[in-house]
Parts: sequence; C-alpha cells; structure tokens
Amino acid sequence: MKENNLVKILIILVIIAISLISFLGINKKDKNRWINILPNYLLSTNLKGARVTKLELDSSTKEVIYDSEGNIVEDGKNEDGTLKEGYTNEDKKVNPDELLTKENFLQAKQVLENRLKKLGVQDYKIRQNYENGEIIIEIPEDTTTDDVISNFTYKGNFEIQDSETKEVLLNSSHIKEAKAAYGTSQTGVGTSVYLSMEFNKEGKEKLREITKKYIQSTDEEGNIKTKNISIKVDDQELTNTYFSEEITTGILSLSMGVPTTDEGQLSQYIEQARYMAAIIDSGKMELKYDLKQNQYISTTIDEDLLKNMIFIFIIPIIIAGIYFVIKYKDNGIMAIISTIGLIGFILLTLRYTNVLISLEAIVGIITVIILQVMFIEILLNKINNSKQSMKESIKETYIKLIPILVPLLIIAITFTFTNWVEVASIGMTMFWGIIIILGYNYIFTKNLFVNKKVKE
Amino acid sequence: MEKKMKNKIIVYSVMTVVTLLGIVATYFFRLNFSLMYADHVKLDIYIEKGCNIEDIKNIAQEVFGNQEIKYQKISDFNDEISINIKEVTDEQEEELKNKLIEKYELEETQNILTKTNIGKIRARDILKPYIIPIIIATLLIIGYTGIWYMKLGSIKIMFELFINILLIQGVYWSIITILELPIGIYTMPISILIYIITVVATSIKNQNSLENVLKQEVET
Repeated sequence: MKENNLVKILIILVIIAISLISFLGINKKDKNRWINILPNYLLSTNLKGARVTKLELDSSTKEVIYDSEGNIVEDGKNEDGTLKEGYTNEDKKVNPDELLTKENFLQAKQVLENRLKKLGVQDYKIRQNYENGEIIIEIPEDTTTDDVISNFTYKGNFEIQDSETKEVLLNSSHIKEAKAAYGTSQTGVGTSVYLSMEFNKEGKEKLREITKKYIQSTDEEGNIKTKNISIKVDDQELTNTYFSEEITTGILSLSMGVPTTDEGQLSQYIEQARYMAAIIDSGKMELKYDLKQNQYISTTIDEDLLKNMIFIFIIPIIIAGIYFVIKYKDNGIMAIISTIGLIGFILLTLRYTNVLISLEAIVGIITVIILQVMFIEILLNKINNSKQSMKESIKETYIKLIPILVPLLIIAITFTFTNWVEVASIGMTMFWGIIIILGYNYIFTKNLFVNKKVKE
Repeated sequence: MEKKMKNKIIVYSVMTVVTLLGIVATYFFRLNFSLMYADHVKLDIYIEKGCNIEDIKNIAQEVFGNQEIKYQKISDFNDEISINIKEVTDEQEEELKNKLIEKYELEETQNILTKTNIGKIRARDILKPYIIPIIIATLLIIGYTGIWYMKLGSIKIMFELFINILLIQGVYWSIITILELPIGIYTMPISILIYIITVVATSIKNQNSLENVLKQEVET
C-alpha cells in the first residue's frame, strides 16, 4: 500500500514537472535576459502571419521593330540608336487589350497555383480581382520566401529558337515535364546539376530533327561552322548552343552552373534548376504581371484566438473535471491531473517534432483530449462497477478503445501525407496524440487510480 | 426497438431535408464570407516615426463607425499597420488621412495611406485541399468498419457510417448557407472536428453493439 502511494506521488510530481515545463518552458538567463531553451512552436500563417504579395498586370509598352519585310527583329537599331534603313518601330502594350479577359485572368491564377505547388509551397492563399486581373498571394515567411516570390512574375514562356533567324522551333506546348536532376559529372569530378526537360510526342520528334540540324560542321574550305539554337525563358537566354549528337529519347538536359564538389554551391544550383523547372512545368501565362507589393503581415486573430482558446480548451476541461470529481471522488481528481499531464506531454512533443500548429492542428489536440476523457471514463466506470484488478480493468479499457482508435489513426496517417500543411498538421497532432495516449495511460494513468473494491 | 427505428428515420429525414434546403439555398443565395475572405479594402497606414495600434483603432472607429474592421501589423517595425474593411468611400479615406496627419503631426504632402482592393477567396479554393484526403480516409474507414463489425452486417454498418458522415456534414454546411453564417478561417477546422466526432461516435455505437452481440453469443 505504502509502495503504491509512493509511486502515485512520484507520478504526480513527474506530471506536474512535465506540465510546467511544457506550458512555461525552461528559461535560462543569457546576457541579462531570459530565454526559453525549448524549441518554439511552429505557427501556421493563420496564427502567425504571412508574406503578402500583390501582382498587377504590366501596363507598360514595349518597342517592337520591324524590318523592311515586316518581320519582327531584335537588333533593328544602329549604334547611335536610330533605326536601320527601311526598318520601322511601334510601341505595343505588353498586355494587349484583347488579352485582358476573365479567362486569361483565371488562367494566370491557375499557372501561379501550379507554380506554388511545384515550388513546394504547402500553405498559400491566392485571391484575384476578376475586374482588373490583380492577384494577391499569401505564403508563409521562411528562408525560401524571397526565392519563391522572385518566380511569380515569369510568364513561363519557354522557347527553343534558331539563334540567327529567331524562328521558334519548340515551345512550352511541347513540354511534358521539367525537373531538376543531378549526378556525377562527365569528367568524374564533382556533381553536375541539370534542368531536365521531357518533351511530348510531337516535341520529341521535333527535338530529334533539331539535334540533327543544329550541329557543328566543316564547310568545303575546312572551316568549322556551328548552327546554334537559343534556349529562352521569357526572353531570358538560358543557353546558346549546338548539339553534338542526335537526341532520340525526347529528353533534353541543360547544365545549370558548373560541376562542383562544394555542397553550398551544389545546393544553390539545385535550387536554381528546381525553380526554373517549376516555371517551365507550370504552364505559360498569356499575361505579364509585375510585383507591386511585398510585405509581411501579421495575423488578425491574436485577440479573438486568445478568447476562443479559453472557451475551446479551459471551460470544457473544467466541466469534465467537475463531472469526474462528482462522480468518482478521489479518482476524479486523479483524472484531472492525468488529463493535464497528457496535454503537457503532447505540447512538448509538438515542440520537438516541429509539427506546424495551425487551427486544424488545434482540432487534432481537441480530438486527443476527447479520447483521453473517453479512456478515463471507460476505465473509471470499470473500476467503479467491478471487482477486477487494475491490470484487468486497464486491459479491458484498451481492448474497448483500440477499435475506436483505428479509424482515427487512419485519418491521422492519411492526412499526414497530404501536400497541404494545414491538413497534414491535423494528421501529425492526432498521430502523436494517439501514440502518447496509449503509452502515457499505461505508464502513468493506471498508477493514479485506486479500485477500493479490490485489495491488491 | 420499433420506437428507436422510428426516431432514427425521423432524424435522418430531418437531416436530409435540411441538407437539400442548403443545396437549394447555395444556388439562390450567395455564400457569405467573413471580412478577410470576402472582397474588401485594405488601407496600409505608414507613419515613419512609429504608430500605436490602439491609436489607429480609435481613429478608425471615429471615421468608419460600426463597420467591421480587422487590423494587422505589417513587418516587425511599429510604423505600418493595415486596416481591412468592407468598403471605403473617398470621403472616409480623406478623413482618415487628415486625422492621422493631425494625430502624428505630419506634413499634408506625406503619402501615409495606400489603398488596395482585395479580391475574395473562392469557396472551392478553401475546400480543395481537404477533399481528397477526406475521401481517401473515409473510404479506408468504411472498409475497416465493414471488416471489423462484420457480425453486425457489413453492408448495413458501412452504409450507416457513410450516411452519417454525409448527412452530418450536409447539415453543418446547410446551416452555414441558410443562416448566411460567414465562411472564414474557423469553418474548415470545425467541419473537420465534426467529421472526426461523427466517426468516433459511430465507432463507439458499433463497438457497443458488437460487444452485446458477442456477449449474447457467449451466453447462448
């Protein structure tokens, strides 16, 4: 009996300690200020804030130069800036009026959404003004935010052109998939990074023709000539090159940077390739956008959330606590201590497992608290209504609860593997919560309750 | 037993009617979104020497009266605050600017207010990320339920779970539509919580029924 009391007191002390650490943290003095040495909670954009960017349609004009035959040329000016003889120019809107349609606005939004997914952004909100095409994008603030934003204003217009005539040989519509790849360099020293583009059936055939035509050759006088292609994304030339062999696979790999053994540089090249692949793979926008606003904005819900948390957590726990104490007396008090300890354990686990805390994750925590209350109710009911030993009561409680936990585990695992961080956060909190309930109750809770009907 | 069955039919019938009403209401009435999810105006206030959110709130309430306003801090410096509001007239914008100039003793030519029209978030964009995970989880749970509670009649149990999930979610969304409750950041988390509670409650009921059946089998 004395031994049981000792164990009980020890468990209560451990629960109090864990709860205090979890709720208040471990504070250490560092240079005249107190800092919490526990990892901070990772908060989602709904609870913390987001980087908000505003994209407006480019309303500028671009000078277009025509040669004497009416073909558009890039190099139509003399050194002094005047037009070459016979050449004409015209100021054309970057976004012509006929393209400013709701369909194109929606298409631009869809391309940006594809781009965000391919860039690995798992928490975003996109809004569009269908009158003027303006788009507002909210994404989390982290180390990659600025790089992600730098990719918003690309149209995604991929072209392979004849370097001299500017004839478009292949474009975005021929691409099946673009991705970043890396491997040991051809020389065997260092790692090379590639932008790998796989073309569709029509593109594959055209690529084969191009790689047979745009090659290095020797003319009748023995001079080496090259017929080059220019690979461009949005008028930005990625490379100007020729082919040394025919490509029949339909896959074109472009080197990004130089072979390197430096990990930092390698990461940089991979990121560049990944971003370019995302731009090409997301589709081409008909419209050109400019970045007009880029600011970090905090959430609006600070005050409301605090008040709502009181209703969501504390009041139900108080009600459950009153119920337990009235119905189960001493064991009811232990039930409250057990529940508070469980919450402490869960919150501590969430800190260390870097689970993103979102409103959805709070739903996961509420679910786990409900499960714990259910567990305790079933267990105390068995204790009160039978002369079974505690061991048998616990065993029967687990046997009754596990079939109910299985569907929740299915929800937890399914949601965890979703590519949407707020949904995944419910899954992760529920997953850890269920694991902790099973272990925590077996180690701690069972030693807190007493079955006065049984002499153990 | 008969009374229980009768009650069950009444409950399911009411839930079906409410769900159908909700579907009809969606076609005839526009969904109501919370301020931050609907079309609204954002006014960014920039005061170089710093500003206090409480002062901004007081001034905004004087200008906009009882209109719903949401405030956001921009960046980590205390010099920029964003006001989100449904509509702003030119007069109100001018009045706000003048009051801010007066309060912070600024020059009239300073550009302290930037107005942006913010478009709404579409309902389908809010729902999209949740649909596939919920469908997959529901199908797996229905499959598990059919197998585990085979003794209670797999088809009946699976069908009951499916109907419970569908109708309870239907009632929730119908209530939102019919009562024009604002759809905002809490809407989906509450829907998920209701979904989870439905699954748990149905599982508890099935587990109790299974235990009774097994008990009867042992006794006979």
